[in-house]
Amino acid sequence: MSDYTPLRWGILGAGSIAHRFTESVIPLADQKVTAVGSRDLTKANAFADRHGIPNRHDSYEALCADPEVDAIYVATPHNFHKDHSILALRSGKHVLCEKPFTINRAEAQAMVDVAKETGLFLMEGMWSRFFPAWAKVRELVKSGAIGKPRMLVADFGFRGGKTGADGLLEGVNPEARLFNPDLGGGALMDVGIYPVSIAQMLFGAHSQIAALATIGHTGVDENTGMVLQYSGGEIAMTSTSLQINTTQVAYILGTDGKIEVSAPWWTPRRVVLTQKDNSETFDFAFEPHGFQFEAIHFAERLRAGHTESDVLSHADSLDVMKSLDDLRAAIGLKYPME
Amino acid sequence: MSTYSPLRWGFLGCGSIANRLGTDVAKLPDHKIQAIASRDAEKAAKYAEKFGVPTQHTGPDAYTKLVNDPEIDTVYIATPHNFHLEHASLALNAGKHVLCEKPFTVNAKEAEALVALARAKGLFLMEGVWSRCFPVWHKVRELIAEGTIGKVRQVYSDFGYGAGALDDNNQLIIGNPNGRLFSKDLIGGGLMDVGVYPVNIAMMLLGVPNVVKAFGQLGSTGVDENVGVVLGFPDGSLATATTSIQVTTPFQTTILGTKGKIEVPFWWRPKKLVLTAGGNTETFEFEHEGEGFQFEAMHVAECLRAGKTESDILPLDETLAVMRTLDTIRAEIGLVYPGE
Repeated sequence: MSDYTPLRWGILGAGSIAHRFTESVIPLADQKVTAVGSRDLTKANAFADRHGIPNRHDSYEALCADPEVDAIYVATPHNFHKDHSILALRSGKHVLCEKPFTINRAEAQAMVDVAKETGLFLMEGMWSRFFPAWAKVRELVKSGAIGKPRMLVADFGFRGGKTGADGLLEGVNPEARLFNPDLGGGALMDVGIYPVSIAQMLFGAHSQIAALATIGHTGVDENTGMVLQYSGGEIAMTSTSLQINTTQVAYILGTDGKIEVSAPWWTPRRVVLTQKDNSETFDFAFEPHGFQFEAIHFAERLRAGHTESDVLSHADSLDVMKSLDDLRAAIGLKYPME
Repeated sequence: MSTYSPLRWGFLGCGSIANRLGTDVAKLPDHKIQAIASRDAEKAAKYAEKFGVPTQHTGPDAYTKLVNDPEIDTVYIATPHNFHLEHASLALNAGKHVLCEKPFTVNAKEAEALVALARAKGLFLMEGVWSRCFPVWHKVRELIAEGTIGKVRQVYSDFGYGAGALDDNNQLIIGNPNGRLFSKDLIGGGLMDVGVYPVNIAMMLLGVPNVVKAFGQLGSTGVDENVGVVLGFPDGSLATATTSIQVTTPFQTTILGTKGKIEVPFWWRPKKLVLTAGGNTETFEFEHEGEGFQFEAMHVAECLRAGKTESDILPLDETLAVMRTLDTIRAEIGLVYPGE
């Protein structure tokens, strides 16, 4: 039985996010990337050569069967997360699955059920939660530094292409992951999930949601506003977009002060606490991308014998998926595979 | 016929907002606070002394005396929200122009009655959303009209302030439930006190929403304490707005366009705006004396001297649209005022 020192990763999918994750993990002393799998062996070889990874596989099944892998990082498009995570779990591997966990809550529940059945570690790769800046935010909120947290204001949108006279994106590739309904495309599932997840971290499961969105020419949401309310009366005010760059600043507002997480709040380096007339700044430097924080957390909990994260539990991810289901219902975004 | 030089003001009510506006207006050379009205003679005397106001109207018919004072041109309505319709109507019926504090009225029905009266009388009427009159907002309107940030797709705006500690139910612990902020009879709550600002500015920027969604937590006196609003517009743009009397918000308005963004800190009485476009960030600063109420007073005077009966910065149809939006938001959060 491996003691996970070093923790040996197998990368499932060789796209851009997989490159950045791998680059973040390689510098870690007690973790290594031992294998990569892609349906396209040329891609797997290129990925492995670039990062110095010994084992290359031309199928996900072969990757998940690799005895030199402890944990699989699932980095395929959203709509494949459930099947690929379950494949890895059924092959006896622990799983870190990119966000969004799945397309909908039902799929997430199926994945969690397999994790519970197999007793293996499963976590959603909502990497923002694991940054030192967000750990600091949790600590400040818990210590009562801003009194009772009552409101989250956070946006995450970026300009994904040129907009036409009607304000909608034009000339984008309808087959690309971001714009293709078949691949779970749209702003909400790509980046709108971030503020929704952080709100869940602060306030728990939503009690009510309302949302509105502009659906673009490819059939996915391009400009989306959301308000969520929680059981204690807390409010999350969020927006997402593929048409514009948003401020990407997050505010947590409490009865005795506020916390500002500087842009880009989803990979933050600065937290500013304001209480009455005092302001305190906390800076956090890191290199390179910041995926190391979720990888470090994953390894720590795994080595401690846990089967899920305490920072992002299965229940947390299921809450987030429920919010996303309800938000999509509110904006009328149903995916073809549902 | 008055030339409105100086513009002779009659202030109806002498509470805190009348004091703040009075402080700025008293310094304007071609304006004169000619008369003050309060049922409380002591309050009126104090106010008159502070600002050098020649005429005091007091007693039970103080407001009637004020609006019939031949030495005033324009009445500034500074009473609580629920009296705006009554007092503004009183002034219009007496042939006086009116600047009415925000919120214009309690609801759209009242606003429609007031607007109809002003139009029938051919008198000037404007809601005192002073923010719109600041030089910063002139500049913002200009930058957007020039296409500097492309098509505006999102606006975020907030205005909330913490009014105390919460109890175990996460509701404010209220010292005086009969105070203006908390009393339903006095149209209390965060939305009608300060939430009107972000809704108003979002609509100035994006027009009339075709979708209005909101959630709000009601406190122990039944008024809203913590609210989030999303507005959708026919061109696919949207606004998010928050207001609260449980927390102090960042006091930020952000306008996001396809080519850049404009940020306005302390946006309801701003001194600067930050434009980010084409890879550059530029700050425009506009210093001013006092709080900045002089800008709306100057605007009223300009309109009157130009013979206008409505403001072009805040036309009455926009005020009506804002009031309808506020009605819908209140319906969404379940806030109904007595008598509605």
